[in-house]
Amino acid sequence: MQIIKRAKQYDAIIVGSGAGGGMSAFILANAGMKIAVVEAGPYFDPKEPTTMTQMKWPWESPRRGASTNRAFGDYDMSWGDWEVEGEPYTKKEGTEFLWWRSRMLGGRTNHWGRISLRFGPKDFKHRDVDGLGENWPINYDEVKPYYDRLDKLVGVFGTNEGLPNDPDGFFLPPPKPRLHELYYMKGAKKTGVPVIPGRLSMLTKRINKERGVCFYCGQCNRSCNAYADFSSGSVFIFPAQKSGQVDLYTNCMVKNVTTDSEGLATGVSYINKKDMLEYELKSKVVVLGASACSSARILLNSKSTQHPNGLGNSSDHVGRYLHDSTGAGLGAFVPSLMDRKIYNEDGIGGMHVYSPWWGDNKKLDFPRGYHIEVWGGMGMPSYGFGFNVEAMNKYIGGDVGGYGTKLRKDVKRFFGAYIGMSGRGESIARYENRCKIDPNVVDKFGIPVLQFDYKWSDYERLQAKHMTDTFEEIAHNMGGIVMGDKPGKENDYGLLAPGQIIHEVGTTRMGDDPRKSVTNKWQQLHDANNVYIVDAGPFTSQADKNCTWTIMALSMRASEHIVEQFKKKNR
Amino acid sequence: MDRRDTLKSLLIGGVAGATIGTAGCKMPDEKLEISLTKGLGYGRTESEEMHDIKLNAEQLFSEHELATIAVLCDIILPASSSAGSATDAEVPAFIEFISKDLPTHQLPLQGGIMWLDGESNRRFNNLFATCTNAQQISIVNDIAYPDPDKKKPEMGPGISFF
Repeated sequence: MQIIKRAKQYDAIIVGSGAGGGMSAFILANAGMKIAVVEAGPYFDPKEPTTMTQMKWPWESPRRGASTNRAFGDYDMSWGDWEVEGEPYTKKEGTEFLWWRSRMLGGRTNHWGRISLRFGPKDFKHRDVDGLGENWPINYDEVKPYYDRLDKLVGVFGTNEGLPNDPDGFFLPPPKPRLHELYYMKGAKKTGVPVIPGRLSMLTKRINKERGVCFYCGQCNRSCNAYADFSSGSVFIFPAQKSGQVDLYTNCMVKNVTTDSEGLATGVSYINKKDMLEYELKSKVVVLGASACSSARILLNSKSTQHPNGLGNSSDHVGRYLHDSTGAGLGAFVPSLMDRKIYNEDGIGGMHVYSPWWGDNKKLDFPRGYHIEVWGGMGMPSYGFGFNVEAMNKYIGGDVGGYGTKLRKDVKRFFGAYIGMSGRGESIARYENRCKIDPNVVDKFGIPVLQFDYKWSDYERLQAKHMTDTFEEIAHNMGGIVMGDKPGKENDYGLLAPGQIIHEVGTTRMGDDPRKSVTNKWQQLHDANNVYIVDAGPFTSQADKNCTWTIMALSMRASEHIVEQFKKKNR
Repeated sequence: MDRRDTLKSLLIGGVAGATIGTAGCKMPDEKLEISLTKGLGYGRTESEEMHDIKLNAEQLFSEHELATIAVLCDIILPASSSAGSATDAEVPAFIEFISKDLPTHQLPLQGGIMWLDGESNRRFNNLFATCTNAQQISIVNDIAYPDPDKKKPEMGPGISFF
């Protein structure tokens, strides 16, 4: 098959349109660079009525929102989940990894939880604290100016608390805690766990003319048609397009980066999903923001005489140090929340309060920490709501079972009487945990796929144990009863499988030593300095924070480095 | 922002727009024409639309099964002064759809209806749906309370079903 070469030469090609790629497109286009954004999925705009799910009633779905087609339910705005049709991945026997992909403009930012936490000073230099993992080659003070600008550019609510490792920022006013959150605060306080207002990227106040203000529908995972949440399309791609500098290629699956005899990148090769033909695009710089694992895959599939082990992989580090956040959760039934007055529990699509990590690891049997997310309240019922509600009577000495008027009453009595807690913590990046190319399997575009090889260690298992022990105590302290059996050693204390938290990072980690890292501190490949990586691949370590805010701050930093280099060359 | 500005910069390299997703199952072309690009009113992608169209073209439950489901649903949630009944809310049609959408429901439901008819035949020499309301309630009262201290052991399958 002949590869069709496109004549147009770009200043930069950006692969992927999510948090990292979107930010990069915004910075580069606004600096006057001519760019192509190549996205593997179709076009998506949260305002488009035919694809919009926001403000749909549960009964408008014939399955009432069940998760048959979308892992997080019918209305979740992610096209693709842990499985994407025609795009398999494999796992080494005896290991586990789940890989979420959203094939659409804006990628996973359309449905994400929008918990927007800065990494703290300790998070960039955690090896100095406990001797584990590796330090980042940069520190908090170097990233702080970008976080500051990001806060103002994108918008995030929260409060300045003066905490040492959960830095202050430029926050919009946070929404008030709701009843279930007040219960959580009470239980946490008694347990000695701090609670502060959440920090999420929804606009509680207007910040510009293009974007609206949150109207508290609580459906941020459906991508906001008022552009009041952070979705990469709404906030970065559409404004970038206004500059006239952006050519957007959707449904184009990048296969590899092309290189010249010097080993430098010359552009990318992609499959157009509409005609299934292969095309080549040329550029001076290639920016990979395809997601940590997708970018690693593209690099590993970019073999040449100059890069026989894959592009950027002379160190054999591409794909290594893959790590996801740890996760475990617990639900509690709170009898005193039964039969309560129904009041307005609208809010943002997520938690109004949370608990940043408070522990002292010197007194604990595991390294690193986790934060606690809280859920509850009278959410919109959908498929699964009220299943076995009559069985709840066993907790209050009522008649288990029933139908008719009794059942109807039970459904209402127990509605909103549940509070849940989820821990999201930091795992230790390990050399052995990796993704690599499966030598025997290709996807439907003929591109070799990833094979995952990932195992948790006792560090993560013991952290999960601490999570569920803490949640049990908090549940008890807010007058709640833990639902279901508490997980034990035999099921890793409820530790979720790697990939389930969807915070995978580390596959092209940054460092000063080219033998032990893939990118430098500007996120340039050590082996080819006109290739930048702006997704979570360059993360040397994950923190007990969600990764997106740092992806964006670092993408802004790397992208401005690109602009600087570009201007120097064209002077 | 003006959506047209955005669409203008889309290239032929991957024309997007309203047609989205990847085609999953093979359907006759004319059926594709009927609904694609409309999202079925609840934001479906192309392959999701085809999934729904395919399910809606199939019939899972027999008329008798659907009638039994309707009777049961209205016993579980009858009309009240403030709410309509389960059949008012078209619950049987929902159960028909969801059982095709989530096939794990099929065996428990179809087997359960057979068990129910067997039990009502044994007691009243009649199928459950055509029994009197009092007869139906007498069976339901035996299967609606799973409390281990109260349940009659031979009612196990019925309790699981209910």
